[in-house]
Amino acid sequence: MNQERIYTVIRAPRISEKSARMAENSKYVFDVDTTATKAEIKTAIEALFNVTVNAVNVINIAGKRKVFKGRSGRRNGLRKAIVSLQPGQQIELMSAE
Amino acid sequence: MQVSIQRPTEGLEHVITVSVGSEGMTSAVEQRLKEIQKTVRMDGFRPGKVPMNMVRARHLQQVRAEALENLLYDSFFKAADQEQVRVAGILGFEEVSANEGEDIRFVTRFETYPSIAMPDFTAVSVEKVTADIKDSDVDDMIQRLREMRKTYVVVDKAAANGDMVNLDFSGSIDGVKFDGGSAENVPLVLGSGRMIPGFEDGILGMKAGEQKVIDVTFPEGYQAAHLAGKTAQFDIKVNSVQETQLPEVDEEFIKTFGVDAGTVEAFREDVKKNLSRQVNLSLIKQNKDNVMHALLAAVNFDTPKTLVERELRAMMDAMTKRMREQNMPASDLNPDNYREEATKRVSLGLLLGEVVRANELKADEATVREILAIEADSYDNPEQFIEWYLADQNRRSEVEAIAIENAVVDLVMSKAKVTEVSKPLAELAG
Repeated sequence: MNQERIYTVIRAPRISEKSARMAENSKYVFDVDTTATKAEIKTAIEALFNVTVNAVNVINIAGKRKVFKGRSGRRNGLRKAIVSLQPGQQIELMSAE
Repeated sequence: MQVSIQRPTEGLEHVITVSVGSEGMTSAVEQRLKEIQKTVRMDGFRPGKVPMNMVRARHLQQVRAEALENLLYDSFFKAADQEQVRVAGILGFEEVSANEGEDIRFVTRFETYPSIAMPDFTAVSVEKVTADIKDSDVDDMIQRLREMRKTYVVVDKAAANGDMVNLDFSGSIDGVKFDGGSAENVPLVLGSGRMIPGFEDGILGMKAGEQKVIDVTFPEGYQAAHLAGKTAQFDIKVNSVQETQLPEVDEEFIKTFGVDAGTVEAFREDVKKNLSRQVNLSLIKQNKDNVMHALLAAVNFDTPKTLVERELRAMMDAMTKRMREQNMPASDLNPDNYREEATKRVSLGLLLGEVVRANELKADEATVREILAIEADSYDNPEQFIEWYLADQNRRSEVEAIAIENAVVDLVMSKAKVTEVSKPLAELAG
């Protein structure tokens, strides 16, 4: 996987109360590209943050159907990845701002 | 807390070096962080639910800077207290070192209040201004009142200085009429100098209905350039001549000034009373100024620069505001022109404070009321005015300040070498 792909696979960290709680157990949540595979996410995270990834779980969320002026459309969907690190490892998200 | 202070041999500028343990600072920062954690808003979190490490990452720097500033001021004033110096103003904090885990060290340059040696009042010489109201002063005043009410009466005589004439005129240069050179039914008071020089002189001696042509030369530098220096012929027709007439000092005249008795004696009495009130006020003011000047001249001390700057800023603010109210551009005010005045005010303030303290002067209720009574005298209901004035704390302390000032003046006057100078009323007017 080339360098460019690493940056397109991982879009942004998801910062929320839930993700903050999960971070205490070394699990971090990211928005990822809808075409990204678990293997790609794993290598991207390991390369970006210099950590060991134990597991990657992904969730697809479909975009909402919306009707505008009688025409129906669909909003963009979204793919979340929950990355579990080797216990004890951390990713410093705030300093990456 | 370690403090070392350098006292100047001359002037008021002190330098103090302070070193404080950082525990106070650390705990203050932690406490402040906890406080803002409750209110911080961040996307993805309900207010107050943001984890501490995120709050810290985002706000630590700012909170530290705030805490440091507080600590600097706090420990500086504590240090100043410990060294028993009276701080007038801070010139600046320097060489602040506040590394994590180390003691906080800083250097402050500051000014103290000057120590003012009480002047020997008996050595001070003051000019005390007095004034008597003479009958001639009352006459002058009545004359002025009459002139304010003067009327014009049509008379059949030659126009003289001070008369008002009504005239038509048309002016021409070399036979050609020029713009603005003609008018009809113009009232003109002779000797008022409203027209170009020579014009009014030409009318002197004319009677109603007369007509004549006069030559008048426009002055060099006349605002209409094409007329300046030229000689014009004015064809003048006088419609009427009116003489000024001053009203008689009779009952009717007197009653218009609110003197119900209507007699000349009562009127003179009233005028005299008003006059003496004005004179008294300006006497008090002049004598106060004299005393203040004499006091300032008698003592020599340094004035803290910081206080002068503060006073100067207050003065500039007030002036800018006043100028803006009058729709004038305030940008061309130069603070340097007022620095001397500000210095004087501050010195005076310090000196007065010192005199008041040293002599334990106070404004008692009776004097306050007395001062107000002078002011209240011109109102219909003096008692009510005084009560109203004293009801407000701000207004009250204003009067009290005046009372204290007066007490200082009295004190100095009673001890100093006083030379009495009687001045004519005309000199007091200003």
